Amino acid sequence: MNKKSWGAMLLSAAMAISLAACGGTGGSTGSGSSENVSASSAGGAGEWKIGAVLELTGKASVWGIPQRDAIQMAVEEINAKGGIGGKKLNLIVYDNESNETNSLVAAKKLVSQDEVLAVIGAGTTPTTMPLIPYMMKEEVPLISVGSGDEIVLPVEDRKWVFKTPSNNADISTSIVQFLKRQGKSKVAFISVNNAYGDSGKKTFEMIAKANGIEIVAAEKFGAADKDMKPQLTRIKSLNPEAVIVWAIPPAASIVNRNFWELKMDSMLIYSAGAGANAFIELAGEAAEGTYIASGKVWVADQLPDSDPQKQILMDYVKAYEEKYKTQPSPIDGMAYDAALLLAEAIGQAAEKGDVTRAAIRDGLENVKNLVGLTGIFNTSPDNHQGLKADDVVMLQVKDGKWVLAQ
Amino acid sequence: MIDLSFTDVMQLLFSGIAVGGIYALISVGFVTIYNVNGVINFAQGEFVMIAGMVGATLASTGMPLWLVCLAAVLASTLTGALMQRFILHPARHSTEVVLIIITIGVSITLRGIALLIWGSNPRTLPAFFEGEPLSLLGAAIPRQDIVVVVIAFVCMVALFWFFERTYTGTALRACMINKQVSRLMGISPERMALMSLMLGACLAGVVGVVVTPISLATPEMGLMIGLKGFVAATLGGLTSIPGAVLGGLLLGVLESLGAGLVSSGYKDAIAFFLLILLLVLRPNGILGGRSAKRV
Repeated sequence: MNKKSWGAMLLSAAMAISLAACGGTGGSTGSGSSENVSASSAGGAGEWKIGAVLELTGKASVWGIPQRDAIQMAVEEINAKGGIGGKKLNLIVYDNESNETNSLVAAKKLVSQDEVLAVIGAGTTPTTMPLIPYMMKEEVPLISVGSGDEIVLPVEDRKWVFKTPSNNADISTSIVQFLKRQGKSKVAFISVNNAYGDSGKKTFEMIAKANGIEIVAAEKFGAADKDMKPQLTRIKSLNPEAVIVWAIPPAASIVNRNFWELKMDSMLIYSAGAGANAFIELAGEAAEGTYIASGKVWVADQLPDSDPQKQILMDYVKAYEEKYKTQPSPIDGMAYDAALLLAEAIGQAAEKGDVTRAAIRDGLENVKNLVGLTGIFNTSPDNHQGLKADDVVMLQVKDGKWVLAQ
Repeated sequence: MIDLSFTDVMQLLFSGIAVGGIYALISVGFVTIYNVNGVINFAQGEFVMIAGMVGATLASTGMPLWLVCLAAVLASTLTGALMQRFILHPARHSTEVVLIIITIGVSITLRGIALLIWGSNPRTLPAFFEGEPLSLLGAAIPRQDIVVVVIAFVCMVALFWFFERTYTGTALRACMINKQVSRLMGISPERMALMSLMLGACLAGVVGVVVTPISLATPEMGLMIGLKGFVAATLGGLTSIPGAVLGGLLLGVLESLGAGLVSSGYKDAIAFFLLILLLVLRPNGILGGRSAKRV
């Protein structure tokens, strides 16, 4: 090999490595596209202007697009009923391309150019974290649809930040209680090698330990990996009674297939993050018997009539299916809840006749028994999330469909 | 460190061979394209993705599986041909660095286009043979893994036959060794350049079709698979096809054993660390001598 191509090879290697690094965040740069939902002109005096920063393109667009649809639907429903305090909501949506930096750029645009009252977003934990210091500084309310607990904790540093997905702690508690009911005490944990997996691992380990559940193995895999059999082989050799998976599809579905291929007979339990509609389709026959700790959107019709959420869930599923010709999932339900919380806070402020960013923030801290899709919200100055472990239910795949686990 | 039984180690080994077979096919594509076009084609992984996505889309229309596979492989081969004709060919007088950057540009463009067409919802292709995994020496081997290894093997044999026994293959090989002299012998380097890209893209297409039932198809699927193929090609010295095959298998097995025996968090780190180590210690690849310099 001559000298010239040797240099080119080194350069290629350097590029390969930097490309691999980029793979973590994915997506190209550039300004996000904007969509204005309300038919009326933006900036009119007779409306409440709110913003949303979501993952409309890039890696997380599997969730971003249904989340946008859900928020739009909530806004249209509220406007159809005459809006809030006589004024309609005007929603401005920006795409953050599933990228941390663009997420902040989009939020800045909403706050400084569009001068929105509050921002919904972003849809994931990594894209929400960079917004927090900025929203704190600008004193604008933020309602995230990311699931990481650190979005709203510690609450003294999160005065302006709220979120709707269940905390990892609540999901972990729900799983741990389920394990105890089933008499299982020896589990293995496997998670995706990023902030989502790490945060879940930390929380689950803590709660499992407090409840006398032993974690015999903790494995990781890359979000783009094709084969998790090595990790599962290691887990299999330790004979756990259940395997807990903290990951999102498609990797989460590959774990399910590999688990089935290795003929492992322990329970397989997923965190809420795996809750995409395609989960069962992607894992095929391997999905049979798999559990997930999730919201109730998929099982709305199976809930007892006494469940206070049944009505809103049934209405949501029906409206969503009619409007978008596709099934809703717990993930877009969380975005719908964010819109409900915001509408409630604006309503409280409008009653007092003073709709400002600060008044909306105060309202978000004072939500009482708001029945949402993810659960029943009760926020306070110490709790910016407002759900309980009971709001997370265990579902199981039976005959290719999600049912409430016994 | 935990104790793994013999069966578990076998499981890791077989798992690694299946993944290694995939890497080997990609890396052969890298080597063929590199030697004729003088460019490391970073869009190789995107060819895999195109075959995977086209295959998954067609399969959902109910088309028979063999036709789906054929169409998917043709789609990626065509993409390779178009890329060579309209992008690499006009830029053939540029330096290697420029060409590499062009391929990176193509790779990002293809990923973007795929995202626009198909969205980012993962898609799936049915396994070629339905049923429970087979058992060998106590290890469970999914049927699709066997398909991967068999197809990789068949491709290798076919490639050997093509390069050693056919006129076109020999011409291609001549072109790899020396473009100027080949031209004097009446071989058109332009045609060979086109052919090498089509061959590379075709191999990537085969990978896309066999791997989608295992890994699911997303617009992002090509990135990591392409990079791992590149690492495998470099392990083999970038100029030798047997080296590329060996590099691929070695990488797959090392990754699998590394994840199973050492730590799963460092799986990708192992692959890229190997790449750096090799570039520093043995720039000519595992099979290449220290001073094997071609004149």
